[in-house]
Amino acid sequence: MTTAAGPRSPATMGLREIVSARSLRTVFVLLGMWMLLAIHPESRESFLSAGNFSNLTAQVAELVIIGVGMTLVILIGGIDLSVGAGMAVAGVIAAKLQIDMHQPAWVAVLAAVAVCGALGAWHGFLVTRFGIPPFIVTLSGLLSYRGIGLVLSDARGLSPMGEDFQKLGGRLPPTISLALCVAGLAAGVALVLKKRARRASLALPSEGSLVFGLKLGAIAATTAFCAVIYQDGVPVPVVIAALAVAAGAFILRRMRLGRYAFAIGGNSEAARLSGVPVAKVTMTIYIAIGVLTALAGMVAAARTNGVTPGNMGLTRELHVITAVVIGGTSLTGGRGTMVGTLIGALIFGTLSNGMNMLGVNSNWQLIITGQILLGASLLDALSSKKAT
Amino acid sequence: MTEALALELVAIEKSFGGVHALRGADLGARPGEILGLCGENGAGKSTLLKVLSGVYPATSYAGTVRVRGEARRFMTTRDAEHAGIAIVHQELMLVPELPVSANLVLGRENKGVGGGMAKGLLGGIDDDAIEAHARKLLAKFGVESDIDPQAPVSSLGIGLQQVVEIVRALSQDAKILILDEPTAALTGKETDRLMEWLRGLRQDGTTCIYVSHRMDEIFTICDRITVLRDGRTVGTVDAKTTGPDEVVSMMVGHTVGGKGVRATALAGARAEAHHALVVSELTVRLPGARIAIEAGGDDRVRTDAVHKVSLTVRPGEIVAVCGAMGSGRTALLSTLFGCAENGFTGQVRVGGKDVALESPRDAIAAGIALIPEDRKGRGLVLGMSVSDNLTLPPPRSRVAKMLEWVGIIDEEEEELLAARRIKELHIRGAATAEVATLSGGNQQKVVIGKWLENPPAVLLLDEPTRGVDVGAREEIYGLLTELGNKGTAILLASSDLPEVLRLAHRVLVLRHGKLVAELDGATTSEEAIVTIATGATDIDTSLLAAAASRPTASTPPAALHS
Repeated sequence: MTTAAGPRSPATMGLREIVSARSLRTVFVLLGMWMLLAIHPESRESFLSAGNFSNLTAQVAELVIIGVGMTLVILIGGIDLSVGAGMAVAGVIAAKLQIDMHQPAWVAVLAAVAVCGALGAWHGFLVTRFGIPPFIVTLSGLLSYRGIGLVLSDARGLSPMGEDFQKLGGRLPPTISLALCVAGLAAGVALVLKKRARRASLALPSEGSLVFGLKLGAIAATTAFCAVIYQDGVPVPVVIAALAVAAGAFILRRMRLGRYAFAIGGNSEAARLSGVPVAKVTMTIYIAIGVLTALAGMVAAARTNGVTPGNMGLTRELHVITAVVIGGTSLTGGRGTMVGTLIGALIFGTLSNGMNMLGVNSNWQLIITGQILLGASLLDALSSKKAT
Repeated sequence: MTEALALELVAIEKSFGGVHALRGADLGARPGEILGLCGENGAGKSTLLKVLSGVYPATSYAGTVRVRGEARRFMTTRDAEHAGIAIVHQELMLVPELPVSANLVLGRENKGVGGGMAKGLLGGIDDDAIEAHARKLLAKFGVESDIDPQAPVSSLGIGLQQVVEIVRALSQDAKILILDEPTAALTGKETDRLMEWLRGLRQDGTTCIYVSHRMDEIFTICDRITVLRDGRTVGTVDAKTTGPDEVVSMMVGHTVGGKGVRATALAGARAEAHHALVVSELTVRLPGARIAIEAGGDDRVRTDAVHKVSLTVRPGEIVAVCGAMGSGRTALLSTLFGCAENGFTGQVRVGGKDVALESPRDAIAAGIALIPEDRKGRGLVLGMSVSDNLTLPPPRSRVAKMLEWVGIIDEEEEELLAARRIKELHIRGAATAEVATLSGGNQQKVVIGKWLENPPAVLLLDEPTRGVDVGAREEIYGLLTELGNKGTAILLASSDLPEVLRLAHRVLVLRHGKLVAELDGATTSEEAIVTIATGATDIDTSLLAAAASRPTASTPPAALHS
């Protein structure tokens, strides 16, 4: 089958690219893990339930939200170690505004976002203006922001949040959830169809019918899966995370900002000589991760209905980096995808979720998680060596 | 040849990804002789030295290296050192953070200087003994008052760093000493000391290979001179019975002077047009120049990479900038593209408007584009696709510019543009292929192609065909000619003289950062350019007479600073 106007292309056109894509391999790893947990007698019953998947994704949401920013940061060859502590600062600010000053949720959220965005701008400024390595800049943030959170809160836990705020950690009603799923399906199909039509009208080769079918099938299957697991209502953190991933993917694939990020991470000197505004892009990306950190902090505070400044977001930066790296983003910059980060975070979440169900004790969980990170990087190193 | 040779290289061949750097180079040096090695940039001198000093392992080239009659296969630089070969590299090979004394004995700490009991990495370091040894060496060179052996190398000016590098090589008691452009950053006083020391070594029976662009030095110090051209040895001559002119003509070959395709004069209307690029009195400081001024004050201390250079380029004109290594070509082009890290003085006008060149973005906004010398390091994002590299520069239209980086990318539009460019430039490689997988020539076409959507008013090219195969080279020449015909002003820095003669309407020659001559591209010769660039003789007035009678007589007369 070919479109009338477009040049003829075989049904399998574009299949090889998809099969060899790094993110597809990650998807298979995730599905494999899910299959194992679904078969294993210890976990079979508790794992394969709508409620468990809904919880799993809600738990992973924070990771995904920050992961979107971290992917951008790592893509330009940077790193942000301050996100865990940043979550605590954001949480304390929101909780103080809500509890001590009785401000509505939107004020609390805006204030937290503004503060963390400013911290991101500060990091970007130090990196671009003085050339301080981002590792150092954000390591300093990791240490001091935790302290700021503790000072602001007198090292006391703050709770409960206001009722309006708690909605950030709750679920949307089932009918709205279903409507969102349908809207997602429609948007996905519309995008694929529009791209196909556009390519045909410009006489560009289109992907083969097999690939086209597979894409539509994957969209439909994902939507159906979501509709099932969110039958009792989709968690708000999941909606926020989904929006973040969609925005991040759009930036990477369809905006100059994303293209420039790839170029800076790939070869910042060549990018500069091509007229890429390196400092501006770097600054923007550090602000973005600040804002996303604040949002993740809001979700965490709402879910636990309170803030414990000493614990909130502790070692979160390492979890996020792990998820991003498992997702195939190169720590040396210039290579990565948003979908990869989403899958990486799901793998990370599934690991702890699954190991809990299988009764693996938490000490062993650390060892296994560490080895999986190493394995993912080793696979990448081996496959990139083969490629060149 | 009854005399045993201290060092012999026979039929050395070495290529880099299909580009032949050496294609049968021979060299023989006797004990107790200083052998000069001459050749144009790219003739293969540096490659030959790297073969000789073990930088390139014996498995990576063909041919034989013999030391004192014995065939040797060096796999590492250490092997070469053990065979008694020491080298002063053109690029500094010092550890900047370590003190001078530690650098002087680096890698040889256990050989009589502060050696501990244990060998290898666990060996002890006796700092005091090393310092005493360093002081002795510095005193031997007469620089003990200029260089503190305990100061980190990075605190020294570039000239004194070079001295440290030389002292290190000379102090290895090597039987064979190689010096690659050792005087590029030295003052007159330091150069004299080096010559003195070299004469002493010659008396002791040491063999020296001396590489330099400076004909006066070569003829002062060398006994014989070997000339390389295009990776081959052209011949070896006796320095006492040969003159610089003869060596220069060996360097450029005898096929020059009218042969091959030559640029023709600019067509009538073009020759009258307003200048697209006007540079007046451009001066660019050398990095670390301040230190050099404080340290020396000698007449040969060079503080400017580019010194008061004025030039003009008309739309459609191709002007070549020639000069030896370090003459300021690359600094000139980088500065014009807004990359001068130490700032610059002087004025640059594009299309009649003053341009502030603080960043590449300023330059691009003014309609300037640069094809940098280091294609992989500065020209391309190797991990991105051909298409992404081609579409990387920001849009030039005003509306698109406001939306620049929050702007939305039209993938299909980009794909069409990339396909167009690939067809136009005959790029062999798919739009979606990683640009790293392309050949050098096709990569270079991508670098040029990314500027073609909004053809620049001024195109700067730095060695545009280095490492590019012959076929792609022709295509690039065609492309440049075509761009010229469309009205782009082209400033071409190249050490490939046939290329210069083929393309350039005018040739500017730089020496030590100064513009020393302007020649007519249609009538000048390789010999003339090399003679002026190396300062082999005083500038031949007949060449300048030829330059003065060039058809585009409206340009300023040849500037002469001799």
